[in-house]
Amino acid sequence: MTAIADDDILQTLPAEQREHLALVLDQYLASLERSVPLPFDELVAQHPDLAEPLRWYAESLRLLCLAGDHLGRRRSAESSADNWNRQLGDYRLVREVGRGGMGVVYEAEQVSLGRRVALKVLPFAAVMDEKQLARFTNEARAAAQLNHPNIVPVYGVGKERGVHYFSMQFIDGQALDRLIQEQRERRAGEKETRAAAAVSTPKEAPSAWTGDSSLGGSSLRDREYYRAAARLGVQAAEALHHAHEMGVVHRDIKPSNLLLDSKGKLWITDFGLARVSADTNLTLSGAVLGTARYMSPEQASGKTHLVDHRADIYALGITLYELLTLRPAFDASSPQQFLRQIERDDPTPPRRLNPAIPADLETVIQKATAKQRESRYETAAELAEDLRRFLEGRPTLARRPTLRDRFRKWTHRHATLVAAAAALLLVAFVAAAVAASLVAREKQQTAAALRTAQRQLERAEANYQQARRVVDRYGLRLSEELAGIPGAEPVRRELLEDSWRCYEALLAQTQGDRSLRAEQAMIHFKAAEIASQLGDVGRAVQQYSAAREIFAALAAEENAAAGHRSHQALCYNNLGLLLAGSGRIDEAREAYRQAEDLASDLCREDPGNSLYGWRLALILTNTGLLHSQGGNTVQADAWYGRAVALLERLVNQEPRRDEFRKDLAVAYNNRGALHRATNPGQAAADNARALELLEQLAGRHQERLDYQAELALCQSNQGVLLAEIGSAAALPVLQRAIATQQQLVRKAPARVAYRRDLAVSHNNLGRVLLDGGDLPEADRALEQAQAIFESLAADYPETIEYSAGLGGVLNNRGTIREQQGDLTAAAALFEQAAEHLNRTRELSPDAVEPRQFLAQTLQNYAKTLQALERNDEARRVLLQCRSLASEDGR
Amino acid sequence: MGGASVSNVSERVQLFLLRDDRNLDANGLGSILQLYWNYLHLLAEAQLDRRLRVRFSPSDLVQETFLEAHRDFPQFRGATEEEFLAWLRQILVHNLIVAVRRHFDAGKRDVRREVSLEQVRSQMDTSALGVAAALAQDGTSPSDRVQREELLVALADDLSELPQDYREVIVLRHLQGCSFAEVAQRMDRNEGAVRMLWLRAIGQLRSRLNERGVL
Repeated sequence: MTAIADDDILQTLPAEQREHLALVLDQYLASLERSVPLPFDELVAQHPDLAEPLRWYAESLRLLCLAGDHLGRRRSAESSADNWNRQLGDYRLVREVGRGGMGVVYEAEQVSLGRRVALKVLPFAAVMDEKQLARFTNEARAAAQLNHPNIVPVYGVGKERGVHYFSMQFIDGQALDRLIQEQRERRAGEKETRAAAAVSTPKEAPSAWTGDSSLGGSSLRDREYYRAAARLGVQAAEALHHAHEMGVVHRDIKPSNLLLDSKGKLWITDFGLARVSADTNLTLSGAVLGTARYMSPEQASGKTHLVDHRADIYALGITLYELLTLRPAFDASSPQQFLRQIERDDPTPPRRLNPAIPADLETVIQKATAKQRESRYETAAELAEDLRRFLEGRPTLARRPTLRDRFRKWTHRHATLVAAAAALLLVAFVAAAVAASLVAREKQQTAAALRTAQRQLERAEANYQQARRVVDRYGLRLSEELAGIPGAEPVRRELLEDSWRCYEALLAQTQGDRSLRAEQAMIHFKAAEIASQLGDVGRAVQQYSAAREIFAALAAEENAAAGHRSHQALCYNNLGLLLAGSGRIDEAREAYRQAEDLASDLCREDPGNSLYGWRLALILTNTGLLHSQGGNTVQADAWYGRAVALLERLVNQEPRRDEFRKDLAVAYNNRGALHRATNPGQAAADNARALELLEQLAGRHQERLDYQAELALCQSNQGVLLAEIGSAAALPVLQRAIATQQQLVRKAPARVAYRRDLAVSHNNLGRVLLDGGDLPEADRALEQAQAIFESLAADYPETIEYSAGLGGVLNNRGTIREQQGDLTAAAALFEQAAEHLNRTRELSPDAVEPRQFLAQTLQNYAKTLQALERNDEARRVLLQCRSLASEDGR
Repeated sequence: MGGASVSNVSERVQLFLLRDDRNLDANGLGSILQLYWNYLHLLAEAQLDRRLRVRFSPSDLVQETFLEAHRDFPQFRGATEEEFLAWLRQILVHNLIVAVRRHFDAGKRDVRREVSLEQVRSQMDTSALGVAAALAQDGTSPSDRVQREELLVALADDLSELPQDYREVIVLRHLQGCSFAEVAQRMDRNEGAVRMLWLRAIGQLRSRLNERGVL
């Protein structure tokens, strides 16, 4: 083709024909933009006198259409030439209804059957692109495999005159994104115009939505709205579940792909990005596809091998979030920002944006949109189930947790026991080291091992007296409980110094011998354990650091030997525990992080090794606890979720390993504690599962005190949960738990943890009795609690738990006095309580609960002072309260 | 600059991106960026609808984009022209969103602002391939996609050299999706005249593209 100047072409045409040419080209262009191009040859045949100019111009039009598509032309022009070709095979196109990422959707009529359908057409520009074509066909295929009332059914696929399309059921309705937009505008309009409180008639909107609001009736309308949203969620979740069962993951769930028809029924459409698990030759992996805002973290970060059906659950959760709050969960102006936000940040809790949103619904959404897959619902059906539970209602929560309420300190117990269980292993190691060579197991070469074994034995002989004394001292308890190193109250200091001396001696003996460094590390570790158990935080931290350093050095030398790294992880874990107990939360978090890194590496390298899995689960549980301490519920739930999942797996794999079962119970218990206030149903379920596991264990091992202790604690928790819902069974359950715990304290008076548990149970009982109106009994129970906490706090001033507990109990007793009319006594008790809680806050400014308790106590105190007409003092106290609140308002 | 063949631009950019000292040559980067001026301008024009174009000038937007590109170039990790273009596009859209946000007062819950932002954002959202290019280092770059990019850059260049009203009618009709009736209104002519204008405009465009060897 020779290059013809434009003027030449036009010049040769008479004016009339020029106009005609323009019209025809306009038609053709419009048809290109519509993705249903007029067949060019036919066009030429219809206008033979314009053949050459048409051909000359056509290519540029195609290019310009492409440019428009690419650069974001938002709509196709309404051509003034109205007679565009509507026929496409058996279909007659009526109008364009939507323009998606990968195609134009028309309302059409299937002529042969006389029915209305929706026709999705592949843009002509994409016809050449193999990948796009493949995706288009894949969409049709994926949807065609599904048969569910809430999924838009595909009727057929076709190709006509070079146009690829497929037909599906036509849904007369609106996509959720438009509805959200309308809701948003409506609310904005309400605020601006301050409409008079006139009730208007409902619009002809789908039945799911109620009509216009009046300001007065807004609360009722809101509740209906949230329920309606939840009902939509149920439909969507059930449809997704069906798709997942058929092996199809949608991967692009978002409001614009959820249609709501005129009868209020929800439809899922647009399976354009779906992955069909059976279809392996359609490798849609590699490129990150989808809509950024709704992408799960694993999708957004490109880890396509991690994308499974749970990505859909996540996306649905985000969609529901938007539906409820009318705002996007994440809002960024570039894909990079989205990625960062999606991976790292939690969306603003819905209730913070709008307190009218039901708490249960918020929790459901937060679980669905957890960052970790394991923390989300396992299946879409589960999500649907939870939403249904919300819809069916439950007894409303009586009150927000206040100081007068029972507190959750007993959850700390679990963390310590978990660590103690770990220490158990280590103690066994050390004790066994006397008999067999630990070092030999670490080293690869037998010869060296033998040599070292010899030497170890010699040393063992030489140290025998010393080691013997250590073992003897604790031997009785060891053999009895095999659980940690107890420190008896009256002799504990002596014991500490004594054991210290033993260990120093042992260390001195092994000093120059690098081959025994592992032993030394163990000794440091054990010493740390002792110091920790006896409350000497400073020394414990020292010893853990020493142990850790040696393990790290050993690991580095011996080519990252797994055993050393495992012990390193344990050191970090126990260190974290210690720091958390002293309120040094940031340091604790860091320690746990290190522990988790090491432990996950080990799990990854040696997936069959259940010990590593167990260690990791331990660390995860402790981290969850730490988050819960800091008031970070969503994170806590995430970590607990991971721990639970991991432990369930372990229990399954090795059902005879009791320790796994026990730690699983611990994790469930902790999680139950977390949800106590926000999701009692979940809390009860977790608690029940924990009880189940522990009853098995305690039953099978009558002699194991720690199982009994754990079970008693779980029962105590159950009592608390029962009390929450007002069940009469709460009292007997609590009393039974107390009885068991009293027994345990008798059997092992040196175990601090048992005493603390008992104190907490007494307090809980007191609380329940107080609620029930039985003041004298309540006071008696609280008195017992007070006594225990007082001695604990005196002995272990650095452990915030005990001071906080004491403060709490004192406050509760003050409450009783107040109710009994003895205001002076009440004031005195509140004052004492505040003192203790203040101390706690000094020790640990980050812990959420002591701060809350203190605030409540101060309020109580102020109130009582006022009643006593000690107004100056009352004012001072209120000032304190206010400064506390302002600190808090960050 | 006219008449530079398509492959020349690609080559130049590619060569620049492969240099070890590319972070140190601000002038070099500047001249590379200039090659995309028209393309980005076109992109900005397409994204801004009538309402927004009153307030934001595409030229300013492109200027801002270039400044940012200079500033952030050390962080750019890509090595192909395709990646570079995607990166530039993304900065432009980002600036667009920021500008719109800044303009509509953040304090007021302005529905109009939400709507405008929505439109701009949805461009980013639904551009599946754009996200891919930006987020994941997709190893495979389909050659047809690259070709199309180069084509569009050439188109943008040629468009910029057309007479003002020729360019206007093409942008309105093809990028803004206006019908000829609307174009006539905007350009204050009658519909027939506009169609003729359009014919001549496309004709000239075609010639230029032909000279380059594109069509």
